[in-house]
Amino acid sequence: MDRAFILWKLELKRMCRLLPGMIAEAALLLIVMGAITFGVTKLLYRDATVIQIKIAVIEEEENPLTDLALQYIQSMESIAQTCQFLVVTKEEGFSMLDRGTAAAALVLPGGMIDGILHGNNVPVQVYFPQDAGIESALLKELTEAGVGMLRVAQAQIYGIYDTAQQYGVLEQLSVLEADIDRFNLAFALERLALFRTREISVAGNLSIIQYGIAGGVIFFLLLLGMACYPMMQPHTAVLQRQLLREGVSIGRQCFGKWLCGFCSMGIGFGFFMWLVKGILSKLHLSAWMPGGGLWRYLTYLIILLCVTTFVYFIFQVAGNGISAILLLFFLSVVMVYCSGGFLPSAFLPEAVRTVGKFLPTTYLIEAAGSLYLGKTALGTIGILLVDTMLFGLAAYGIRRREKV
Amino acid sequence: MIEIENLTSAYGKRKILQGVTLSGERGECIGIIGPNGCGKSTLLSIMAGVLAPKSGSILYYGKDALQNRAVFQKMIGYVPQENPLVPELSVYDNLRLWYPDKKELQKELQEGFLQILGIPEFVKMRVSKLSGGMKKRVSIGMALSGLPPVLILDEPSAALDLVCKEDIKRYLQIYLRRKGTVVITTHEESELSLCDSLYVMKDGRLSQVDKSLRGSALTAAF
Repeated sequence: MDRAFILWKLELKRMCRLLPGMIAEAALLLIVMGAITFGVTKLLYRDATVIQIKIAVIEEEENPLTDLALQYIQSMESIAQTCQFLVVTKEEGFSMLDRGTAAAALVLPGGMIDGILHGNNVPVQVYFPQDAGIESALLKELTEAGVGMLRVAQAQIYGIYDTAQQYGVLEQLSVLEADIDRFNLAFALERLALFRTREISVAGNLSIIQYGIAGGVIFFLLLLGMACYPMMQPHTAVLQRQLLREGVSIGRQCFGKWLCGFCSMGIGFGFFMWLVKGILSKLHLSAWMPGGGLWRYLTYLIILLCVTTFVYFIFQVAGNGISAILLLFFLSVVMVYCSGGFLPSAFLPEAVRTVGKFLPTTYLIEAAGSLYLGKTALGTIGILLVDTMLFGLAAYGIRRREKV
Repeated sequence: MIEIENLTSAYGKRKILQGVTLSGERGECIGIIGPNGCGKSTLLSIMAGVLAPKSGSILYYGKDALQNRAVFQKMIGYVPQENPLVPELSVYDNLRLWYPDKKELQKELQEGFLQILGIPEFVKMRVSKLSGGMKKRVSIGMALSGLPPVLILDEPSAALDLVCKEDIKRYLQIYLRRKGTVVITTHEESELSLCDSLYVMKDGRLSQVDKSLRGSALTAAF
């Protein structure tokens, strides 16, 4: 029998021996990750709003009535929690928009309040930055919804006035207005109905939960590599040299180690998915698990291939188990963060987002997220396969360089 | 049977071996002594085909090993200082790596050198549970796969107790009686008694000394 084949067989046998310990470590990791997830969820979804949107208010003409109206609006609890109005000059306001320090600029025309009182309704202009961030996008939606609501209310008021006049019942106008208010509040002005059905989500086509799971799965897989260290770390130098002397090339030795790493990560990942599926089904949350199907299994396989090869590469770079574990942990946290695995990319600074575009974890999270949608973009698969190949070649190169 | 001519080796600009010449016959035990870091292990690694020399020639039984690397595999059994073992696997599994033919391994365990080394007693044990002496016996057993005519050992008795040292000496005597050639580096005087010829290595140069030298006379030769 070929010696390399015997080596691979023995490596797999060794892996089976070490598997119970590895599964125990994976379970421990799961508990740690569960605790982290719980903490992060608590932090992210607590009651208080943590971000206040800054809005530049430009008054074309100073008017005490406008100031009063502005103060009244800002004192409303729902507004005060989310928005901060800053009265500025026109130049300052547009400069704030350009710099991205304001989510919108409101230009209040002169005689706005008088216009409201006399039915002229001089329009208020709202300006948004060109490359609107998430706050501006939300504000834009809210503004458009508000404009819609006002249009309906205005049309109703003029409509009932004309109707009352036509039927000669102007004295009933107050009753009719009260009826409109009642209907509007109960049905017509149901605020959500006025929003567009298009959803804006930082998680793309996924729900926040699905996006979180996708990021969590990749983070878990990377950390799982730490539990697989006995399989991934290089042979001792003396064994490596002896194997080489016996004709087992560095490439074949590397393949044996990688194969065991792949199998152990696959088993660990399978165990993780089985456990999560069981827990979610007990909690009647099975919808949080992606479905099956050939394409999805293929995506799982590609994700696993890429993560295993990356972890294997890290083990070759570090040279020994402890350094590799530390390096892997550090890189996993940084890479998953930059790729938007902990917080969606939309919330991250521009520089971090740019770095994220070059990290394999970004595409791994994308692929994991696509498991919910049923089909992974071919571009993502291509990038992951290229990454796998590059990490594999780099790992082989390092081992070859260090063979003596 | 062993003819080494003008072997040189260097790590970068540092010369490790300088014109090393050595020869040995069947059934001969060649001892190499010298202070730590003088190049003994490098010489043995080159003789075993683990490292490549800068220049020189190595002939085993008239065959140029540097031209045909299969000669190293066929003719040399090499026991490095550290044991090339996989601790999580059993002794049997470790041996399987060096004895690709299962039947040959069984035969060796029943009546061959592995049996002489006493390996069948602990063949099912995990390597991580073995003592230093047991591990060294397994390493020797691995080196003897395919019964090579030349056995190279790099300080086989280092860090072993007296009983183990005596055992290893006994195994080597058996090997020599079967007309094998042994090349050994050692700091142990008891092992020197096995040697038919003795070389001293200093600053990468090898010189033969009178094998009858002992104690301070031997030290003076360094």
